[in-house]
Parts: sequence; structure tokens; C-alpha cells
Amino acid sequence: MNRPTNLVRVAAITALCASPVALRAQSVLSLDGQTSTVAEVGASIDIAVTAPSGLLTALMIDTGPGPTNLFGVTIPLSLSPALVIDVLGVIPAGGTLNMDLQIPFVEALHAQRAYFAAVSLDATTPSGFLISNGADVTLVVRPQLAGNPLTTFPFFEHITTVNRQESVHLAIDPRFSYIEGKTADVYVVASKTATEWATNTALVDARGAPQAVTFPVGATSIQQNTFQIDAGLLLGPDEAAGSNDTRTAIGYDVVIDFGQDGVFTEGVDLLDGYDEEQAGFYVARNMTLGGRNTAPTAGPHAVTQATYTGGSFLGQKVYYPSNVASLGDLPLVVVSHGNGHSYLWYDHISFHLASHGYIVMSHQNNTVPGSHTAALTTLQNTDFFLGNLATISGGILANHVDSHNMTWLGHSRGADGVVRAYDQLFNNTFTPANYTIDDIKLVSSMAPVDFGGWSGGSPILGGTGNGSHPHNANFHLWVAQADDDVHGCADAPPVYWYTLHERATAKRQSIALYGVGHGDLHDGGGSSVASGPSLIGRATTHEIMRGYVLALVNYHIRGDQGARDFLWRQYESFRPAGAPTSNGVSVNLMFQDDAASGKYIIDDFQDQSFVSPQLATSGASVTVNALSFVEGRADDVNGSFSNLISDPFNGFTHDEFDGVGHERSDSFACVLSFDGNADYDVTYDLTNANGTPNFREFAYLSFRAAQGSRHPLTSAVLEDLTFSVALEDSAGNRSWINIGAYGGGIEEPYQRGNSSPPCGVGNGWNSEYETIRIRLTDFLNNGSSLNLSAVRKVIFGFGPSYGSSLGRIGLDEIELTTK
Amino acid sequence: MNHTHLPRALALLAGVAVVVLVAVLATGESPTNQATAAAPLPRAPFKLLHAETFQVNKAFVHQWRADRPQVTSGWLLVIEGDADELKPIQYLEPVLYVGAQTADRVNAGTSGRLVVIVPGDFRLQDAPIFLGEEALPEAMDQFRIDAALKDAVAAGVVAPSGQAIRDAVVAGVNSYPSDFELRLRAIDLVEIHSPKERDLIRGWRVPRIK
Repeated sequence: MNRPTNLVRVAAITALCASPVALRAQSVLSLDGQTSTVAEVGASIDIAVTAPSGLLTALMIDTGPGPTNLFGVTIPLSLSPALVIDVLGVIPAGGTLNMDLQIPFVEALHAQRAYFAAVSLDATTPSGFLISNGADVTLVVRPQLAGNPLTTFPFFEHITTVNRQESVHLAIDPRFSYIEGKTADVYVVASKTATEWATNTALVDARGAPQAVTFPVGATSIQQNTFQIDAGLLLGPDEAAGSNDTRTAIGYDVVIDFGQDGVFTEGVDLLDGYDEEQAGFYVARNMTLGGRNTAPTAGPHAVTQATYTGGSFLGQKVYYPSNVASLGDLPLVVVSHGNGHSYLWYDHISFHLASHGYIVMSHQNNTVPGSHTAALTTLQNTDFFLGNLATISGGILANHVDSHNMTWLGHSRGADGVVRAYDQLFNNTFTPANYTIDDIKLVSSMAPVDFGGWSGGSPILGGTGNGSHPHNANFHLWVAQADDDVHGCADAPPVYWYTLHERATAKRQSIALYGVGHGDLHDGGGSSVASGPSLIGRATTHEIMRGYVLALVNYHIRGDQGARDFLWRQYESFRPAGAPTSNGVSVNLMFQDDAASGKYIIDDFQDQSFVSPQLATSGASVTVNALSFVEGRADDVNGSFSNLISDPFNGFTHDEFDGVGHERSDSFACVLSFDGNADYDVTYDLTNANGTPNFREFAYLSFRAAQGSRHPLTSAVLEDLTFSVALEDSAGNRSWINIGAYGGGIEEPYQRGNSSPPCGVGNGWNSEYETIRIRLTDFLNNGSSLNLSAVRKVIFGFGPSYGSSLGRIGLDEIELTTK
Repeated sequence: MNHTHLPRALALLAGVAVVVLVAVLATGESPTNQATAAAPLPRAPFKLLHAETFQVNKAFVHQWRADRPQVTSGWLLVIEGDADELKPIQYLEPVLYVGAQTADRVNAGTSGRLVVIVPGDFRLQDAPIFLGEEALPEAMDQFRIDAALKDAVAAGVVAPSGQAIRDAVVAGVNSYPSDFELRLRAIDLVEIHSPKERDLIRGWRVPRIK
């Protein structure tokens, strides 16, 4: 509302307003099509003035509604000293003049109401001008409220999901000055959509009664405005056997009812959860509970299984809810086993998923010839299954399989196979009769080999033209860090762990499990096929898998927003209830949204950065004050994990470059060191970046980082590494957050040595990325003075003042994300 | 970063004396003292335990070589070798050959005993059974298959002896409607010779719905 004004025109219009001549109402003003509306701070509203064409028109904005009679003229404003007049322009030939009005993002504006009227110069009227009706907009903020206290700045994390039986808190920073000194009733209510809130404002507390809170006068910290709102009593989904309740979580909205009247009043009360898709927060079920082969009735649905065959390599085992006939269409998960494995070896995830409302089909896989053949088997088995539902298991699945929401989940050669199957659909080299590529919503690879490479062009691996490329599939990767088969050593690109992931162009994510062998991922018994310390074994691995895989498919297939947190938050601080944490369990997660999400890439180090280290992908200038900083391919170039100065990306096997093209992947990053003797930093100045981003329009700063394997500065302190990140605005206000504030940090590489297979000197295996996401509004807490709308610099600080004293890290995928 | 297999294979090919192969194929006798420095790593020889011929009424695709030939007849064999060398892995495994043909491994062979389907009408006495270079069978073309056989012969690998063949071969030709029935027969042999591969056996012996 601080638009520049034309003082001359304003003066003229003001003078005209003082005319005693009565006006006829021939001008209509609307705000977003209404005469009274509500708008969020930071949003824009459409101002429309409909009047005779050709009239010069101005907008008057005031703090009071009036009306005011000024020299006989009735004006629908109070004409207070705060009155602002802004010339809009001339009414066009169509008769309506439109303008977008950007509302500044100032949290203190909550509950403020602004009043508008338009005035046009009109020589045909007795007074010479025309005044419109009055219109008003009520400004609101929609703060995140629910979450968990933290012990260090930002002192609170606003989260999406908590596990059942865990406490939930409410916190609001003092910058929301509206709350100061007020007493209110806090309600935790069953989630409603924004549309539902518009028509149903009644507040019914899920805890039985609202909770009175008083926000102290003069509070300067979010800690002072933090209240526990649940001690772990809020209900999650019904976990009882046979409950038929397959929800990931139950959504709740949080309302601060300042009127203490038991209704949500827009423009007065605060609401966390005013959204069409997402609740204020979710209480998640124990994701690890469900059906098992030893207890098929233990989950929400009892599970029925059947085995049958349609011919050679069409043996299948299907798992489905026993009451499928009453459940409508259920998504399909197809499981493709690995070499020397059996389609009967995936009961541990299949019973679990089926008990949660999926149909799972595990099939015979022809893996020994190679993963191209395995891919054909996956394609054919999926087609056979969908084409024979009237026969399979007596036809009970007919009309109950949602063939438009399918997941392909493969293991080892089968994991490469599902990706190569997708590649064949992508390249139209295989045409199924019963599904299309659009029906494959998620491809998940457990410990995949990479025989197809980028495009299947490798002669040694067949040169079939069938790449191991996920393309635009939502892709997920499982990494078994102690895998002694798909071992990940730098000397063997076909068993690099991350190349498939790095090729994926849509949403991509991974879970890396320390102490887990190749054989631990199935339940066929026998060896874990593991090498390395702190082996956790098959049973513990499966407990981790059950909770995670359910969250994975529930998010991607069902769109359950409550499942998303399980895919990216640090395992140390948030994981499925029941997921193990002892006996050497260590889990690293990566998660990256796709371009369609509206994210802004600050630097992904691809192409441009490679040749211009001082220029980021976004065009931001980069200032490096760190040791041994190198940008380049995340490719361990010497075929072993031995630390060498000549191999700056030691331990990184995300990229593989043969010198003539991206035969395998194309993954760039940077590495740098800090030695404990000083502080260091890397600064991105976005002043001249492409489309300089308004950080207010994004939710998180996201990046991935890894400790450099076997580097002396890594080996010196084998623990989670932390550093800090700052945002700085155009006025020089700066706010720092240590990534360790949210729990965990960047995990040290799995301390696997050289027993099997040999891979150079020392301990430590792949350099393991983890995704870190920091909510941008967290930088604003406790009076930081930072203006998110004017952020110009992102600064990564390393060293004693910022976290771990010393270390060697890789850094990549620095982005602003919308969710 | 090590793309060593193809250059090595080509080098091996170049070092093989073609006359050796011709001689072997012509006589069925094993060459002696003819191994060259370029020969593949020595592996324990396979023992032929069982052999029967088959025909299928409906041709099937042999996925174990790049040209994906159609198959209507061939051998169903049971062979015995070093279990450690047969242990399934995800990475490249040594390709199993019977003569100038890649073998379709029906079972994993964790017992050391493998049941294999080998397409084609050929004489067993002309067909050394051997493990070649680590590779993907689906990538093997005739050029590489021929090279592998030459390497093996040069390394001293020989075809089963006449006595071994006589002891192993079951007379007659078994005819099947399709390869599915052939594979069920193969699974019967797996049950006999490698009975601990229970899940493989169980996985094939499920009701057929179509």
C-alpha cells in the first residue's frame, strides 16, 4: 500500500473532493471481485474500478470506513490523517480499470482493516468527479503454530507431522505483535480445508476443551510464547488390527481464539491449517505396525496372499486386503526381485503394504541374463497382472486395482530393471496393453546395479539402447551401506550407488542404511551379504524398511501430506514410531522436489558453475573463503577411496564421466575444507541473480551436504558435522542458524574398511549426502530484524564459531523450496 | 572408471589361434599344451551329470544372448562345478557356455549343480562347458561368444568325454508345448540335484491360471 503517488494529481483530486456538489454513484469499486474481502499479508489483491471510459481515476485508502460528508459530498472513508491517494490511471475503453495491489509482508498487520474508494475526474457531473462505493480488506497472517521446542536458535521448529504419543507445542514469535498481552483460548481441532473453514467456523477441541493462554507483554523471544498443547494424547489413526483405518496420520488445525467465543473469526483469530491440502499438523500412526507373514491379520486390513503363474517368468505372488471387495480401487505396488533371489522373498514389505490398503504383486524376474531382460520381465508381468484380474485369485481383484497409481519397486538387478523398464516406456520401445507410462507414479530401487548407464550405450553391457535412466519418474533409492555385492567402491561404476538417483529429473529421494548388507533387504534368509562394522542384521533392517516404505508410497501415491516429513527430516530427531535406533542404526535421507514445485535453484553447480566458480547456477556471485575449495564432478576419479590431494571428490560416486559424455551421470558439486584454526564461509550474493528471488515466496532453504570420506579433517572427528547458514538482507541484517539445531547434522561416512572389497587405504566408504532444510521464517525469530522480502545473501559459515571446528564437506543442490 | 572388460576381451581374441578351435570342433578331442598366455583364468571343469534333448512346439526367445534367437530345440543338462564360482551376485558374473552357445541357467547352483537349457542341435562331444569372462549374457553377440569359446579351448577346456556323455544322456527327445513345460521339467531336475533351492522350486510350481 506504499505505492508512490503523483503529488500533483493527488492535490487536484483532493481539491475536487472538497467540492460541495453532490455526486451520483456511477463508479463501482471491487477488491478481488468483492466489496469486503480478506487478504493475507504478502499477497496481492485485484482492484477493479468500473466507470465511464476515459476518466482519470485515483484510489483512496484509509483506516476508517466513514462515511464522511465533506462540503456536501459523501465519501465512504473516514478521511483520517492516514489517508493515502494513489492515481490508478484512465478508465480504458472496456470500462474497467484493474490494478494489482501488493500487500507488504508485515506480521504486525494482522487484523488491520483498510478501506478503499475510487475517485474519477468526470466533467459530465455537476461536481466534475465521480466517487465509487466503499470497499475494505481485512489483513491476516497465517503463521505456522504447531511444532517442537529446540534448545538453540531458532528455538522452535514448526513441523508438519508428529508421531502419536509425542507432545506438541504451539509457538509464535513476538514479531506477530498482535498477540502481545492478549489472553486467548487455544483450540486443537479436527482439520478442515480452507473452504470448510469459510463456511464452518465452529471450534470443537479435539482434546475435550480449549486451553487458555496469555501471551506476555514485552516478550522478546519465541520461547516466551511457547506452550505445550498436547502431551501425546491426541489420537492418531486407529492402529488396532482390523480397524480398516489406513490413514498415515490424522490432521489437526490449531486456532488461537482471541475472541474466546468458540468460533474462528477471520481477521481476529490465528489459524494454523488454513489450506486446501495440508492440515496445521498431523499425528502419525506407528508406521511400522502392520501385517506380517507371521501375523497377516495384524494390520488395518487382514491380508490374503495367492501365488500363481501365467507361464514362463510370469510367476506371481499377490498380497491384498482380505476385504478388498469392499474397498474400491487400491494402488498397485509391483516388486521385482534381484539376481539369485526369489519373488517369494518380499513378504516383509508386501504384507505390510497390503495391510495398509495396497495391492502388492511380486513377480518372477529373469535377472541372470541381465537387467535389460529383467526390465522386460517387469513390463510383461505388470501387463499380465492387469490383463488377468478376472482370473487371478478367483477374480476378487477385478475392478479393485487402481492401475493409474502404480509403484515399481525393485531390488539389485531388479532395481535396475524397474528403471530400465521405465526407460523403455519413456522411449516407446515397449508398449503395454494395459497401462501407460503415466500410470507409473513412483519407481523405487533397492541397492540397484547400473548396467544401462545414461542411455544403454555401453557395448560391454550390451549396448541395447536401454538406459538405467528414471527420466521424469518420481524416483527413490535405497542404499545398503554394508552391501558386499552392489558394493559402491569407486573402481566399479556398474555398482555405484547413486548414479540412477542423480539422473532422475523429477522428485527424487534416497535412504541410506548403515550396517545393512545386500541380503538384508529381502527376507529370503541366508547371508546378509555384508561387509563393514556395526552390522544391524535383517530383522532390524526390516523394521526400518516397513515404516519408511509406507511413508514413501503414502506420500507419492496417496498424496498424504502427513507422510512427507518422514522422507526428509533428520532420522535422529524424527522417524517412524517403532523404527529402531540402537545397535548401530544410522540413516541418511536425501529429498529433492522437482522443478514443477516452483523451487528456485541458487546453485546446483551444473555446467555454468563448473567453468565459472564465482558464478552460481542462479547467476548469484559466489565468494569463497574456505580451504581446498573445488567445484566439479562429484566423481572419485582414482578408483579407490584412498584419500589423495589429487582426488578432491574422494568418496563421491554420484558422477561418472568417461571423458566424452555423461555415460553414467552428470552430477556436479563443490567440496571445501575448514581446519579449526579460523572461521570460513561461502557467500552467495543474489543481488544480480536471475529473477532475484523473494524469499517470502518460499518455505525452506534446502541443500545437501556430505562429509568427505577418509579425508584427514573428516577422520579427525568422527561424528555428525555441523555448520551454520545465514541470510542477509539488503540492509545488512543477518540471521544465523546452526544446522544442528534441528537434531543430527551431516553424518560421518560409514566406517567401512577394506576387507571386502578392497577399496584403497583407510576407513570410510562413500561420501554420504544428507538433505538439510531450514524453514525460512525460522531466521526471523527473536527480533532478528531480517527482512525476508529483501534477502540478498546466503552465507554458509564453517569452523569454531559456526559448528564443528574442522571438517571436509561436499555441498550441493542449494535451493529455495515451496514446501 | 575401469572399463577394462571389452579391451581385455578383444586382446584375448586377437591372441587366440583359430586353428585350435577348428581342430577341436573337428575332432572332439581336447587340445593339450595349447593354452596361451592370453587364456582366461583357469576354472574348475564342469562335470556332466545329466543330459536330455528337448523340443518345444511353440518357439521361445533365448534371452541369454544379444540377438535373442528363437528356440525350438536343444539340450537340458545338469552339470556340476565349483559352487563358489556359481554363487549368484548382482554384479557381472562369468557367462556360462556350452560350446558356442550361452546357457540358460535355470537355478542358482548354490549346491554346485546347475540345470541349464542350451538351445540348438549340436553334439555334446563338440561342446566344452565353461565359464567365460564376467559379463551380462544378454550382451553377448556371436563375435564375443566365439571369442569366449576360443579362449576356453586355448586354455585347455575340453568337451565332456565320450564316456561322460554316454553316462549322462537320456535317450529320446522330450517334446513340450512351450518352454514353460520345459522349465517345469528343469525344475524337477533342480529338485533332484539341488534340492535346497526350495524357494526356486516352490516359485515355479504354482498353479497356472492361463
